[in-house]
Amino acid sequence: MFLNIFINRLKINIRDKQAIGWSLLFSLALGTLFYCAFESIYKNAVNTVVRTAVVLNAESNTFGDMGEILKTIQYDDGTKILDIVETDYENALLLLENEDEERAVKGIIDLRNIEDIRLVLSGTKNENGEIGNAGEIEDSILSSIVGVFRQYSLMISETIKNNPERLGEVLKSLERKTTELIANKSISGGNKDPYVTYFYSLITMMAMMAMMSGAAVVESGQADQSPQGARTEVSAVNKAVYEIAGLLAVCVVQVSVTMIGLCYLVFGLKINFGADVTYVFLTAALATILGISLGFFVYQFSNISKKARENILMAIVVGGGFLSGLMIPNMRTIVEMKCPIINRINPSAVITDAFYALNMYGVGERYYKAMIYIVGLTVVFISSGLILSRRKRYASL
Amino acid sequence: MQVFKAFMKIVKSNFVGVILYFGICVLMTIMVASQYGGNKGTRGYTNTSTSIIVNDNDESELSKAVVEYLKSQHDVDMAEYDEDKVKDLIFSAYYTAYIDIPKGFMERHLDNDPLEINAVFDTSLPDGNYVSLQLGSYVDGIVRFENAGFSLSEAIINTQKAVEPDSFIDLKASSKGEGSTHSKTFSLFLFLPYGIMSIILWCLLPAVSRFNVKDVKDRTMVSSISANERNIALFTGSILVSSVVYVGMSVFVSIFLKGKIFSMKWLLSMMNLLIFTLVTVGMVVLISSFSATSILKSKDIIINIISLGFSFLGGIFVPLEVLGDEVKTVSRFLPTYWYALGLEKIEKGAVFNDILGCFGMEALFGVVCVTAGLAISRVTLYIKER
Repeated sequence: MFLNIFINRLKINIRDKQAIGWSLLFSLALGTLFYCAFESIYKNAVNTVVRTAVVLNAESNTFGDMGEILKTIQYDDGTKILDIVETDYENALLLLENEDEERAVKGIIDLRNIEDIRLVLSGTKNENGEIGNAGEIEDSILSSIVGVFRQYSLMISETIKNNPERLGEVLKSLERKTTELIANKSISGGNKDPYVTYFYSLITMMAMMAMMSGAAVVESGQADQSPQGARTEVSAVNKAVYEIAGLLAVCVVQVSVTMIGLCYLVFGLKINFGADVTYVFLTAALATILGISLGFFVYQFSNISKKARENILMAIVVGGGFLSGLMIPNMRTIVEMKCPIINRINPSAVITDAFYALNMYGVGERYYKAMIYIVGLTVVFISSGLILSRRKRYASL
Repeated sequence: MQVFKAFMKIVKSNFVGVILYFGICVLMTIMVASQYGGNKGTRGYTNTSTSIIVNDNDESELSKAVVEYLKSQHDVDMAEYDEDKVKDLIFSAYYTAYIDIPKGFMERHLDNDPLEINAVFDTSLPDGNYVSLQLGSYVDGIVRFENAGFSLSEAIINTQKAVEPDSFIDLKASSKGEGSTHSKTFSLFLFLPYGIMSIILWCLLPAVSRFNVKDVKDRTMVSSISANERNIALFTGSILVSSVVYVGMSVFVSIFLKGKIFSMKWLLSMMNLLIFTLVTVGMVVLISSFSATSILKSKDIIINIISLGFSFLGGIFVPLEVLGDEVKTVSRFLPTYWYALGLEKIEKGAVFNDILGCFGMEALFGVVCVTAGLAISRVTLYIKER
């Protein structure tokens, strides 16, 4: 009997081309779209070389060959910070205004007067005609670098003014490299691109949307829910067996749909989830089963109107998706900082956290915690659903 | 009237969805509004300011000076977190860097083997590198001044003086359109299309589709209600619902724009939003011309694909300037792109004539949707009648 119901429910689910089609379209369309929108953002944001014009004269090399010193400054990952163009001031101004981004410079370091090193940046006029610059990151980096050279010149001028006898000693100290006082440490993880969060949320939403299929199992097996449910109820089928077989059939179809969507992301679009893909697939499969079980559980409350149950599921999918970062990638962190309990009870946030844990920490304690929650919640929903579906009264005399 | 009443009844039954999407918009708006406490960057030069966490274990004269300097440059939260928490916060870009000043830093900062300040950040991104560079140059400056014979307090004052950007940065007016910061009006209006699309589609799509279900449509047709009356009732209902959504969203956003209401920027942004709202109604006409039962069954997925897709691709959730050229080529076919572009032009001080093109492109999309929707309905009817 179990096998018979399972096969028939499987056929019904496979023949529901609209549901399968839309679910697939959701993952394929939004996956492609996210890929197009975010593929290059992080790559473009990675440490960029700042093209800078440097204006020098004979006086400029008081602290050594300034052009060469500037060329050696680098980011912590070894990327050179500055692409130096040594030129005269007039040409530097033309380069600053140049419309061609390849040729234009971000700023001019004017080293002609070593006692007053200047940095020239471009700005925009506000409504009152005043020039302003809100400080793009490249401008701020240049400002920091120039700040260091200004320290040197200020040190010399202050020494001449206050302790002229120590000038020789001060000049010597400038040649000496101070010991590094800042220990930089990068965050570790498989893929540090924060935009990968959108893909976590996408898979989570795909998984949670499977809840409508779980709800369909209840509808097809309960007399007051559908004509098919009435027929099922009067047949000689154990209800629990019917529902378990139905759930199993739904799981086979919906997990397959999620897997196809995930395959497209992993192998088609080559999204780097930063972890062993086997675990990514496993997490997605278990998340889908959680979604199905949630729909199965909520639809057991037949005393609530169908519309209300639909709305509850919709609130869980969309609201949970929003709170787990579908629209704003750091939303989950914002919730974690303001009200962490929401992240513990929101299934979407837990699923997203499982993917995040896989990426940043690998298979470890945090990942297992999330998985235990997902599996535990699935068991609770299914067993509660099975208990709730028993001995229901639909009408009284 | 009967059709209109039934239409409104269906709309009312979707109220939970409206509340949910409105709630999402409210949260987004509050988050955006909370970012505009000051009035930065309109005059003179201001360094990039990011959010960082500082943990001062030393609490000495030197460490306090470092903390004060960082506070003058960034949004600093004083807190102590474990390594995992720091990683979570930096990965999600909630904070750019975590600065940990060790105990005993002041005593040992001049040693040959000094205690180091720990800076944790994503080393492949410039923001964290900038914070580290800035911090490094500040501390390095103090040490050099001390090595040159100045006292710690003199070293702090001199270093502060040297790194003060106002004293050495000259700004040249540029026509290149620099600057990535936007006004509050721009930021608040930018998110609205997502809410407008979601709410209007959520309310209208099931209602209009319900009337297009074959049985319902046939029953209406054989009743005393003429096809024209039915269509007028549906049209009136749709316009009424969209107007309520438009007014609701506008009033809500305007609450955050005290003093800027009725400015040219606000008026043009409102006009932009109105056109977008009407375009969304056009989208409903097009979508509902397809199989009604299919739409009713999968409305959640359809609405999510459209609202999220259009928002991500059209520059609502992701700024237009960071979208690649290929993506923008596709985006040009979406009303959200023209909405966002129009908003950017308004932000840059454009007058009505300058943004007429954007308004026109948005409206064109709506007209195409309505025309295509009507054509599909006509063709479907023709095929069925044959």
